[in-house]
Amino acid sequence: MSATPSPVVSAGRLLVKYGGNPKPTLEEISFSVPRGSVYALLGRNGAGKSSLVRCLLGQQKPTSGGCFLFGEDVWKRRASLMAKIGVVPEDPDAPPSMTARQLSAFCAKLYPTWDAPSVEARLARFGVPAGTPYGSLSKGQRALVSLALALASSPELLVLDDPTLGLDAVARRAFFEELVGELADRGTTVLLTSHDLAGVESMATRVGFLKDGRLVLDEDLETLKGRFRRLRYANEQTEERAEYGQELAAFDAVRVKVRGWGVEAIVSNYGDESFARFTALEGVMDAESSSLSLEEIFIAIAGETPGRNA
Amino acid sequence: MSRGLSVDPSDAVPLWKQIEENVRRLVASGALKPGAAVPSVRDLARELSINPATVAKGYQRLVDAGILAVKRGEGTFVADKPPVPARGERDRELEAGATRYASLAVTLGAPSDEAVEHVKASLKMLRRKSSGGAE
Amino acid sequence: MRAFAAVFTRELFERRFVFLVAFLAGFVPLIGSGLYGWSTPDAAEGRVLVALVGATALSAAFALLLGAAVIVGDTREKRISFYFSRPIPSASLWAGKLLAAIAITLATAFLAFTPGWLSGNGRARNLWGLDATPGRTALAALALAVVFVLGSHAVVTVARLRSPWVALDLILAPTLIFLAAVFLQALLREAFTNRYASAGQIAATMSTVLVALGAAILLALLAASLAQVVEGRTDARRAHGAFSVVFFGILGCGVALLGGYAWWCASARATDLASISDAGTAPRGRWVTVAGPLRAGRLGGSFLFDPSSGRSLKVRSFGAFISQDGARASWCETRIGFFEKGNRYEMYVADLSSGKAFATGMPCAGAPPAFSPSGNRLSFLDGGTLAVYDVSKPENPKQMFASQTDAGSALAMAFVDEDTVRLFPRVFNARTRSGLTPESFEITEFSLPSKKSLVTGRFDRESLPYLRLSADGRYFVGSRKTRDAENESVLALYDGRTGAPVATLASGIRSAQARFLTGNRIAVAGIEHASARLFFYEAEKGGAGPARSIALGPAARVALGGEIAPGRVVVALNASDQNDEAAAHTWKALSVEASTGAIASLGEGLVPANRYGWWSNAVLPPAEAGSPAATLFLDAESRLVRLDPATGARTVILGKGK
Repeated sequence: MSATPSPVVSAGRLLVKYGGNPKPTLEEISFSVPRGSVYALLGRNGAGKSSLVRCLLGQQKPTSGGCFLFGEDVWKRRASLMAKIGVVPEDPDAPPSMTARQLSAFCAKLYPTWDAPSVEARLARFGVPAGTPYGSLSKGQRALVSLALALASSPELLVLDDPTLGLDAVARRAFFEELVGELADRGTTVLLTSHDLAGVESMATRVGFLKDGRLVLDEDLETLKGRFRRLRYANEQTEERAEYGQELAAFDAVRVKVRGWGVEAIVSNYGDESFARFTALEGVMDAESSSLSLEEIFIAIAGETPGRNA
Repeated sequence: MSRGLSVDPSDAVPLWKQIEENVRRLVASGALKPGAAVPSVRDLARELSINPATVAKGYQRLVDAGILAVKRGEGTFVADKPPVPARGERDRELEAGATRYASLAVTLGAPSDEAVEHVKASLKMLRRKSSGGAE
Repeated sequence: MRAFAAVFTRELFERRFVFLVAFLAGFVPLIGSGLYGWSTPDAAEGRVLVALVGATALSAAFALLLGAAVIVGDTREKRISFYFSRPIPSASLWAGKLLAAIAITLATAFLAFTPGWLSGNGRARNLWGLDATPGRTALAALALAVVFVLGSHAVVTVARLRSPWVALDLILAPTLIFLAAVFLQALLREAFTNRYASAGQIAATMSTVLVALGAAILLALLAASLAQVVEGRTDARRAHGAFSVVFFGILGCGVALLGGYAWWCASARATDLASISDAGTAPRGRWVTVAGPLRAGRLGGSFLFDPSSGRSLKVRSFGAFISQDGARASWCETRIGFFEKGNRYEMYVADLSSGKAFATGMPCAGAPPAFSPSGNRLSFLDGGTLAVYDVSKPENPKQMFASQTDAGSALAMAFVDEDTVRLFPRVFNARTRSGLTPESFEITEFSLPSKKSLVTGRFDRESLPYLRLSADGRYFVGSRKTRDAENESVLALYDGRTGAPVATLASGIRSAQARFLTGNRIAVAGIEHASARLFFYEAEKGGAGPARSIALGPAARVALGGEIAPGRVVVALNASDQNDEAAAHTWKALSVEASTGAIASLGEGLVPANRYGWWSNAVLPPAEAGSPAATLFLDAESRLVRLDPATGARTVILGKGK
């Protein structure tokens, strides 16, 4: 049995508190991103995603707790770790007077390997002019430039902080196409934050959900979708009683609605065998199960979706 | 070929399974002929904007089931002799699906002819979709 | 290193328009000079001057702007995360940005200055008398550039990062400035009363202190800005916090060190003296006044010292005056500094039995005060006012009497008894000094009970000698230069009340000094024809010539000491007429018996400790045999030693020697 390789990103009991605010922004978060996975960290604006990313990139010191990239403490080893990491920030932050070409030349001096032609090729594919100052580009163009720059160093880890915020459909598609190409070619580990589910379900292998400073969800996407199901069944005695009975006990029901025709329950611990036993229970009739979309799962857990940004 | 291949990320069914089922359907309907080339993992992932690992998983299952075959250095192709599902299994699946559909029709109070009309229309549409982009 | 170079060159490139502006500005003085006349004599200097002023102003402006923008500007605009997401070490980022700002400032100065300077053909080198070599100019430019850039950065860090740390900054900065001023003032006090350093040495010490403070500020700015980038990174609040903690931490240490140094200088004791430059003995009692340099860096000082108990009082003045009975001392301290206003001198009175000194609050003009015989009354001349105070409780002096006199500095004063103060002329070379009023030549007595004054005698301008009063007030001893031979003087005895001449003690001798001995005798020492001589007189019979005249041997200098035994007086000779270190070794101390003329050697390299007393004191010591004062000497290494006349053994009391 081979040992699990160490995770590319890990946070241990990360506490972030801003002075003057009694409630911490991040309450002792711990999670990790395994190598080769695409981790989507979801949460509302203000849930603490950006603080978490800044701590993970060694740009901000957490109040307590540690962040590790490739097994090394990122606060202490930031400069050398950044050589293996590509970052696309939420707010484009390159010096506004530099053109994409100049940015590429600047970065070329910093990284051990830099594929300058790839930057040119990507920008040509995106239709973004390489000789225009960064400050004059539209938000979508800036995000694409940032992505081109992040990918040119062949990073082992990509950190994308809400990269498609404010992008139109065309830019978003171009963005994800590049990302997919990168994943296919290199198997890069990706940590991606978003407040919006678009694109997450198709890209992520793991999801985390940050709500009020806590990670209320941190799971493999497929496992998550596997164990959350909607059950519909009729109960003989439904008309006489308003509540459901113990039949759902095995399933950790999250939300249950008693309707005129029967019961609709969203359960978090679905299993085929348990379901088979369930259908055989006395009084349970016409039982059927169906899968839930990610959005429905979030609503069930947190009463809100990360999407529909405020 | 990918014209017949589309996935819905928000669908209940996992993406890899959707790919697997789509390809099975295309092969079974004859839209994908044996020996025909299918898009590489990379190209299909890009086109659908989904994680290549997902595509890879679907393809792997298809390869394991003998529906697709990988030729080193050349790409992925439909197998020369894709297996046809055993008659018994096929009948069971059809029967289970029919029972589900029938009970739905009864619950909704739809007359039998109408129910059958719906089935025919769906079949027609699907078959058209599958062969629409066929070579 | 690569990251530093990348950041550095990037910053330079981004601001390339600045170089163009500076380059163009460099031609402004040339154009101006072209319009107003190129070859006029002052034109060259004018061009250089305009170029200098322009270059300084332009580069200073850019330094301020860049200092504000390079780090804090990027932090506030949230652009600094661009750098932190790249493999750029925090220190390289800091260094690259700041050094670029400094380099741009210097390049601007160079570009704007050089055309004008070259067109002046380097003739105008001596600007305002400063020797502006290229090396020094470059160094000054670098220092200014660093200060402006870092200073601007510091200011915007505090002001613009919107952090609650500002409150701490606003409290600490004035506090530290205030403390630094207090400590500097204390140092100035110690430095200015140190007369054993020349003005140049004092300036050197103070400028070393100021340079050290400047270096501390520079170090604090550098370290604090580095900490800001390394610890704060993208977090503006944390950045400001790191900056403030490091900046005020370093400055606080610097100020503490300054305070420590000031305390160290101020807490010196007489026993810390490296050597004794000047010593005075109390007329009676054990205390001495000593002054000299302290060990390197601790400046120097004057002290009152009691050898038997080891007690030491620091005297921030040019010397202290001890009462006749040795129980009290007083001196005038100058109050120097930023916080002093108004009256800048204050009289201190010390009770030597308890070893405590008191600031009396009395003003003083630096002229020596006089104690009454009991030590309970003190008189001094403050400008034109004669004031007498009761200082029986030195912390609470009471003014008894004040009177106006026009003579001012020409007079000396002494108590002849507890109730009477005598004022008498004390002028060196009356003939050549103008501005002396008639009162300057009068002997006046003030009676404290009646508060009346009485002129008891008068001298004339031609014949006014340089007077010293005997301890009991009966006589004056006065010395007068003879008209013909400027090197020689006449020493004579005068009536202490009327000034009437009583007897001539010596004439035609150089360096004459006199002392009253027990048994109504007077000893006079001097150099006659390159040989030292000692004369003994009976007081009233001075006119009849000396009772005894004793040749001591060839000498260029002589110093008359005290009476170590009844009728036995100390005198020292030196063959060298120089006053340097080598000459200190060639003193020979002798004791001479008045009755027999017998000479005994007391030791080599010894000179009486109080040898300058004859020249500086208006009142002569009382006749007393065997007082502790008589056995104090300075040895060849400028240490204060006590000699046991019986055994010849020397005990070092003060001074470290070489």
